[in-house]
Amino acid sequence: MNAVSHHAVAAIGLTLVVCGSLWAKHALDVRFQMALTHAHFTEAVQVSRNNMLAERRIETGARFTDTGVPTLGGQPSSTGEWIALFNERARHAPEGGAAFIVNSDGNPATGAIGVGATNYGKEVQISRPSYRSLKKHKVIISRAGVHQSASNRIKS
Amino acid sequence: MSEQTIETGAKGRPTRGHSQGSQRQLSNLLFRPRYSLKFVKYFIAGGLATTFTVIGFVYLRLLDIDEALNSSDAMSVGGHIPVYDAFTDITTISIAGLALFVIYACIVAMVIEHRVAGPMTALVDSIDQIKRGNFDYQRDIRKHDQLLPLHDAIRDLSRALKEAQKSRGNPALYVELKE
Repeated sequence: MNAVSHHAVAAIGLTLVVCGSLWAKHALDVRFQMALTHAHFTEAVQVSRNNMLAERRIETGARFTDTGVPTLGGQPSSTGEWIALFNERARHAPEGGAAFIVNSDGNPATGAIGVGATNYGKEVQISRPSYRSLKKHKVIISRAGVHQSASNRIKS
Repeated sequence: MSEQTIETGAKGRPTRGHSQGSQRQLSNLLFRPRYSLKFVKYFIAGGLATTFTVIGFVYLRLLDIDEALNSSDAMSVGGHIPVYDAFTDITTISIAGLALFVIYACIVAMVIEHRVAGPMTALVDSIDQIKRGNFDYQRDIRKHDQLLPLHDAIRDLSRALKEAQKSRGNPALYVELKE
């Protein structure tokens, strides 16, 4: 039996390198998309929390926050207004479509964040869908604070 | 003296016939180590090792990204920093791996060049001495040089020519070689 030349090892190795590189590129793209979905989610939570905090300041007569930011007020009163506030620049979800949708659970297929407002916009529910390997995460934000929904403990 | 038929190519250069086994075969490339430079295996091994090491590090950092995105700290202020750190690390590791491989490739190329070009000069010198009829000339090359088999073959040829010269007593072969 002939000994295997290192050219054969190179041929096999090159095949593995090409496959490994393609896998790494795909895996990296997936993580970028997951990070984008998560960024949309956290940004919506931060914006809504700051908005709720500002409204509470107005109610209590404070005109500035603790950090000196004016409390401009103008709380959204519907789900559409909340989405307009979150998505001023009309960003897209990783798989296409709007980054924020009127849906209590979001869209796991596109990575769109679900937004739902109740009580005339005084309570807003923001849901990160179980997109790719992200776990489903839902928070409810009101003037009382941020509440983590029990569903975020469900592994997708 | 028997006549030898020499096939000629398009430009009149002598070519070897197919009956002498000059056809290139894939099996020679893949399964015959004698048809390959031995130092190239270090180049191949280094390239594969570097690539798979980089892919391994990238995989570990991808797992860190998954964990960071799904952790309970993901919603806190600065919770996204581990994710960005991981992406930065992946970029750094990839660039560092590429740079290391380029450096390694340059070093191996220089070693291969040294192991081939050095003995080639010595072999040309040896052949020149044989052409002048100096069959006792010997110039040793390092035992790890790539052209060592060729050096040994030329040395054997030199000995054979010397023996032929002795047996024939100033033979025509020497004259033919000088011509």
